[in-house]
Amino acid sequence: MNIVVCVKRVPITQEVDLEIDAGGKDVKKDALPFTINEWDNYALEEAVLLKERLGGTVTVVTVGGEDDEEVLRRAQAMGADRAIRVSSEGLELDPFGLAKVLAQVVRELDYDLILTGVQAEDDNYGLVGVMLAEHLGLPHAAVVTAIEPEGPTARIKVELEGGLDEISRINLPALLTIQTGINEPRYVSVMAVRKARKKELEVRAVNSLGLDPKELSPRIMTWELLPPPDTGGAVMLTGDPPQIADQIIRIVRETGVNL
Amino acid sequence: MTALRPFFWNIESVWLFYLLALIAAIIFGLGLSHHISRWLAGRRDESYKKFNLKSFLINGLFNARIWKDDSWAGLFHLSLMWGFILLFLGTVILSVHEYIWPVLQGKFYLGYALVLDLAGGLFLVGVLLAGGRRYIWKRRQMRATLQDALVLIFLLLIGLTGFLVEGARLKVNPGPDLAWSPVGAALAAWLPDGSAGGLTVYRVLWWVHALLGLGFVAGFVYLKLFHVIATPINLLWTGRPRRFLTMDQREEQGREFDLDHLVMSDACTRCNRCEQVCPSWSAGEGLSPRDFVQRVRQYTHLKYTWLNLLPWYRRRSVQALTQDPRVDPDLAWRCTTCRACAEVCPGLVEPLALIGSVRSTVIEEGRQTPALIARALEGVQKQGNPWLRPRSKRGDWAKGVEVKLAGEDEFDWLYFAGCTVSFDARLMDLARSAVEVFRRAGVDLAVLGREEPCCGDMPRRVGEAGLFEMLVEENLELFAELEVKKIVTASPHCADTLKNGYPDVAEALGLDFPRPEVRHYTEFLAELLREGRLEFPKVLNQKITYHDPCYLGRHQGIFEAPREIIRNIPGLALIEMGRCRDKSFCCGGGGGRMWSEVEAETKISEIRAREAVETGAEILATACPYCLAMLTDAVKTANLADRIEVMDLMEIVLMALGE
Amino acid sequence: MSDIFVVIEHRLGELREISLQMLTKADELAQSMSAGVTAVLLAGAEDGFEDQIAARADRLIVCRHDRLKNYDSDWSTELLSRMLAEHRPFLTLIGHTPWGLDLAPALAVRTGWPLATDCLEIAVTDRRPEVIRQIYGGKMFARVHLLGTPGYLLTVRPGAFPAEQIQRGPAHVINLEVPADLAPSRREVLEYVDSSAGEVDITQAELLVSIGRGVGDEENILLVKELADLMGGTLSCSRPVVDKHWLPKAHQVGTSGKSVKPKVYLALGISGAFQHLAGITGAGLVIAVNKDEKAPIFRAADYGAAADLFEVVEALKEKLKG
Repeated sequence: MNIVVCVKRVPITQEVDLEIDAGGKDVKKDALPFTINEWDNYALEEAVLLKERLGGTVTVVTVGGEDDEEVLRRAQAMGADRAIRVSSEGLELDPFGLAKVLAQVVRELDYDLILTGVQAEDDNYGLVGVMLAEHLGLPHAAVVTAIEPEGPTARIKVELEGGLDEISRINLPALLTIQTGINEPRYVSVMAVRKARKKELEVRAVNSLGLDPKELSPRIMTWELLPPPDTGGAVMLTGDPPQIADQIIRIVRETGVNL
Repeated sequence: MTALRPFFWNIESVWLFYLLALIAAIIFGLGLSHHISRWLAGRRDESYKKFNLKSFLINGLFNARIWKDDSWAGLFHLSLMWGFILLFLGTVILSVHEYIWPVLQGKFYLGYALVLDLAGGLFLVGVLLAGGRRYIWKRRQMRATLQDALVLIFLLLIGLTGFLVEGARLKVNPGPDLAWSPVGAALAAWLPDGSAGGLTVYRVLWWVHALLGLGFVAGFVYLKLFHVIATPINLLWTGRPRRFLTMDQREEQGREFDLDHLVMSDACTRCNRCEQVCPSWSAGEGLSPRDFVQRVRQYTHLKYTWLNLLPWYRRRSVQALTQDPRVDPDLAWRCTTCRACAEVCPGLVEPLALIGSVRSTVIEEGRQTPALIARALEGVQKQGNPWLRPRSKRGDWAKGVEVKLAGEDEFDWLYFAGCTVSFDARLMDLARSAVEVFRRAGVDLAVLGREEPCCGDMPRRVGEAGLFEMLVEENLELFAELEVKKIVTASPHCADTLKNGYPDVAEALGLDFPRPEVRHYTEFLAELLREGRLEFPKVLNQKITYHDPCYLGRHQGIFEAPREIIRNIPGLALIEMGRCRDKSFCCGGGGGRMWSEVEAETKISEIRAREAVETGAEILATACPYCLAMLTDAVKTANLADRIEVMDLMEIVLMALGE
Repeated sequence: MSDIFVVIEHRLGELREISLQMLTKADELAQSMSAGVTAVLLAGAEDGFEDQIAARADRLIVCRHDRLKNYDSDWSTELLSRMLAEHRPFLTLIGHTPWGLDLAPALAVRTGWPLATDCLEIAVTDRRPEVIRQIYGGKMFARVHLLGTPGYLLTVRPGAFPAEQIQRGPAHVINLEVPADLAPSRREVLEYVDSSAGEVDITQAELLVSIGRGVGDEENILLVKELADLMGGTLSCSRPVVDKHWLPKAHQVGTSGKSVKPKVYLALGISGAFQHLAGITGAGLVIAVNKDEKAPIFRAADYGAAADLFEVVEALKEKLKG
């Protein structure tokens, strides 16, 4: 089973106080560590698991600069066979442009399944995956939490709201966007990444893909960033833990709940 | 007439003996080669050429470790061992006598005869004691197998038949010097009369004894008795500097275990001391160091023998391993790396080293790494700490504290707080207390603040050698850049890693950076005390017990410094726990356990907390952030908070310094 | 006609709240633009939806087929893209739901129109839509413009807008037949499964003690469970706890879990991702404890404490025991 996985490198922002940069359209990122987008990591692990079970190859693709290669190397250490970076060469690509670029590259590959994450941790758009499917004319499903290939089709579980899941059958080849929790991504040791560095990593230039640059101009644009509004928010309790506990107990009892 | 030892006296068909001997030798050779081929599957380097003769003498010839805390064990083994060695030497001399030079004559022969009789007696006493310990007094909760019983019976028979042969020989052919063979003479007297039958009896006994003897030679390498070869070799490598292998070197050598690990697995005699002191086992978690070592041994038997060159043998091995892989990585994660096992092993086997090797293999493969440990390691890689906290908040504990920042000011000592102290709300107090204490002692101190890296202890112990290697290189460069020459740490883990872990890596990588001097704060405070730079005006009238952290005590050998500090604080009455100093019982936090989810009947930390409470002390003092965290938690969950308070020595020192 | 299309979402015979919310917002936008509101409904044979919708739109385009009683990815994309190509609405609203995530980007490619997802605020300035949406998991907000000539597609966050009674309609209903040349779907629904069924029903609890990623590891959950028991409450959690298999799905609060309406919701170590917050909109009193004072949960809570959750849990236990 040959699988293509599209991945993105994003900054780690847990517990970080994000600041808007000088341009006002993005956050300051130079002090932040980067890693593979969490959703994409789940997708990658799922691809490697399927390959380990059923045989075949895993190809991992990203669009970006040299720094983004670290994510591809890690993917190779996890078990990806082929790695392709499309060098964006300074082009600002929005999800629409990205989908077109990826489509050009993936079109030439041999695959039964394409996996992407549901969305990216930075922009949270959730667009590229399904758009890529549409460009390639593939059946697709978003927010997938289980995949079971069965010959020319696959049985999938789609996560809906309220604890409800949809069990469907989809024709292969197909594109699925993967939800967190589908598996437990493996650890990738420093040694494994080092070994992976010896493998081949293909770099393709965006302008070698045969796309009209006008096609890649943005369709949506961030006009400005706004800090989260101070909507009054919570009344903050102060003091040491015992004092906070006292206040909490008092507040809860006032609602009529018996403690 | 001078005494002369006859050889093959009255034995016919000596050629049969030689044939059997040859067969025995071949079987022995096969077995030995199997073991050697297994050992050769281990990584090796120049350092193996250095032998520790001192350990070989003390532990090998005098069985010092066996005597430790168990005199009867020392007695039985020394008797059995020396009895056997002397008897064996006796046989060697006999061969020399027969084929090279008739040495067994005159006074030498008489002395020889006496010594051998005594040796035989000693040997039998040893065997009987061994049997008694295992089956009657049941000293060590050993899990007796059939092999144990058979080996004992076998040894007993060899010893008995040896004497019986001598007795039968002396009965028929007494010779003038019976007194020099007292046991033989006694047996001869006891054997029934009848000289014609006597020769037959002698011949039969001789062949029985010969067969048993040859059987021993042929078979011992296949039984647990192989430790007779493996353990002395292991002893020769005691304290061998464990050379760190870089990623490049490991990739080149591509093996699972080091040579001495493999020898260790054979040096183990299943005596069970390690299991009895293992904290994980005591808590019912299922990790037995001795079982682990044995399973590694079984695994290597199947995986690494030269016999696997034979296709049918290989198929058998592969099938056996598929059905039962022998080594369970799950168990490997339960080890706290406390070193209690290595400290008590009579054969100087280090189960934690084998466990560490298995962890390394699993980590570098990736799939069976427990999730929390995986995330913690990723945290170290990305954010410089295993707690998944952002690097930007690393120096926050020092907010509001007046202390120099390395890189901005000149300083003498660097205070290294460590990841856990830097990020935990409760443990940050330790760092703040330390800064204050050192200020009062007039120490010129600085901290790294945001720039403080992870020392790499957790990756190192969990088996991520590649990550550890990276950190060592980065950190030594950082220290050089910031001119850090002397480091005092909050945690013994950081101290041990920086002090004892870094130099090996630096050497392996050929790094040129200067090596900073590293102390744990207890060592440093004890020094300051001796220099008179610290005085304790306050009297703390408290009963206190001290928990020796594994990484301060067993790993670094620092037992006295913390006690010196406690003794110097007026009013503190120190009550030692039964398991203190090198026998300290782990808190359960080391070896990556802070990032583990292990289900067990009891918590290791609770066992220790109860032990502390039983001393009647009001304060449980320790000198390690993990110990502090684990024991504080344990005291709470075991509902002992009203009986004892857990404190770090640094906090007690600050209290004693007064306002 | 300048028009705003609203794609109606329904499931298992029930009209989803997001549809009404979108119709309300569409009505507001339409008023400011002097435009019309068209609702589009792809559904199975019979349901009671038409009346509810007809009261809130100028026009209702209905396409009924047995296959459409469940969401059909291929058919929805095909039918809607034909409709959009024909009517060329200025703006089309779709719910930001799993089905919306499945449908909207595909439509964007088919129509060639720009699409912004998960919108919290929508405005039309100079004949161009301008939206506000969250990035970095809610830590930052962005004002995004859609470029180019109309039409424009948007997915709307459930709960961003209220569903109100509006005075529009009754809608002119247009019934469409499914075209004969429609290619067969390449994906079909086999069944729906409730994975959150379990012994615990957190939706019935009066007091919920809820834990998030901040609980650290599985052992600590017991510590919090003790507190829940002491308080006479039920243990619940956010998504990461279920992802790690520390608690069964039945305990999960949020969009992919359950919506709860307790009198008191105590959130411990929960950051407050919007998917989680969406599950507690009905809660009476929300008290949050999180060591990160910038955690988004504090925006949604009534009371908060930037403290170590374990210390607070211990303190609470002590006070309640003693």
